[in-house]
Amino acid sequence: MPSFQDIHKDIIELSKARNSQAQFQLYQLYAKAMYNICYRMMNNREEAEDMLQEAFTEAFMKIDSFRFESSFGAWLKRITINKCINALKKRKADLVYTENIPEHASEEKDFDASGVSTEQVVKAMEELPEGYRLVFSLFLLEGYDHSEIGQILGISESTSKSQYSRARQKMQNILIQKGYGKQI
Amino acid sequence: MENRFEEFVRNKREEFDFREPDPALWKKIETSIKPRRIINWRIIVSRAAAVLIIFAASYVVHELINSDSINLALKKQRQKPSKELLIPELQEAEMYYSGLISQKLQEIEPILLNCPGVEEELKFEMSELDSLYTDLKNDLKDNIANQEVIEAIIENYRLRIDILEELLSELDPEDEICISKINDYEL
Repeated sequence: MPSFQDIHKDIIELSKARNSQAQFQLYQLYAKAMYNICYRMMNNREEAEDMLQEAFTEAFMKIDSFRFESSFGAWLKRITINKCINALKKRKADLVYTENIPEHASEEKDFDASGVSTEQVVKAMEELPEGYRLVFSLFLLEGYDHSEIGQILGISESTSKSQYSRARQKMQNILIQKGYGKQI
Repeated sequence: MENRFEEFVRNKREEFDFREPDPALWKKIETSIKPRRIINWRIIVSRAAAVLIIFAASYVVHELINSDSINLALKKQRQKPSKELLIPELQEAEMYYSGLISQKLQEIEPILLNCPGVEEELKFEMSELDSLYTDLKNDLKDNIANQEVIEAIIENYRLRIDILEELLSELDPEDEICISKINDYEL
């Protein structure tokens, strides 16, 4: 298998050799991105930091199992997301995703986002129910497709799809309610 | 198909990562990933056991070899009986003289407290006699001319007693100034 040419190969190799300077460099490179993922998933600073700590700790502990088959970032991101999902499952045993919701595509109107700020979108995201928030950020911000999200969350691909379209609709509604953006 | 909202989010994707983690977080991670020295008790115990086995084995071998030489020595002893066991007169003399000496030493001790110089001299004389005594005891093991050696040992005891008696008779406990009065004995 051709190995993935990671731009940080050197520091990854050094981190494998438990070089603490390289570990810190690697942390600095990815901490912010991972922290933002954690924050979006956990929806609060304290838990997000706990998850970030756990994720990096686990990543450095099992860094030997990283064989450049993907980018380091993707590998680390998966660890981070799994940490968050597990914590959310523990926190709330009944994390449910509404199954088999019919497509809303026909009912959904397009949305004019001009004049909407990132901050407003982030605020709206924080108001989403947990299940919606997860699918929404995994799909739109973390860039996973629905089959991957299905794997991550342990749901079917179609559930992920319907969950996402409801989440997106909900987001738009929240923004409109707040007076940001317009429905077209 | 992507709607405008999605397009908006994707275009501003980088702006969504605006939060910064607590800078102190790295310290926590660093401590939790520090390589710990894992104490593997199994390895330690097995190594200790190996060392013990080696010691035990070498002891057994040593004993086996020694028992041969002990047997030889026992044979020799049977052929040529020797040593203190078979010299009751020496044992008796030793008991008698050592009792006498410790008695004299007890008597002289309080007097010597005032006479540090004399005490030094006495100690020196006694240590000379001690080393002579050790030599004589060794001679006894050779089992040659034992009678002479025994006599020399008894003489050694007598010398000690003479020295002590001499001191006792010449040192007055009331004396404030002590002068060495030990005569030069011919050892």
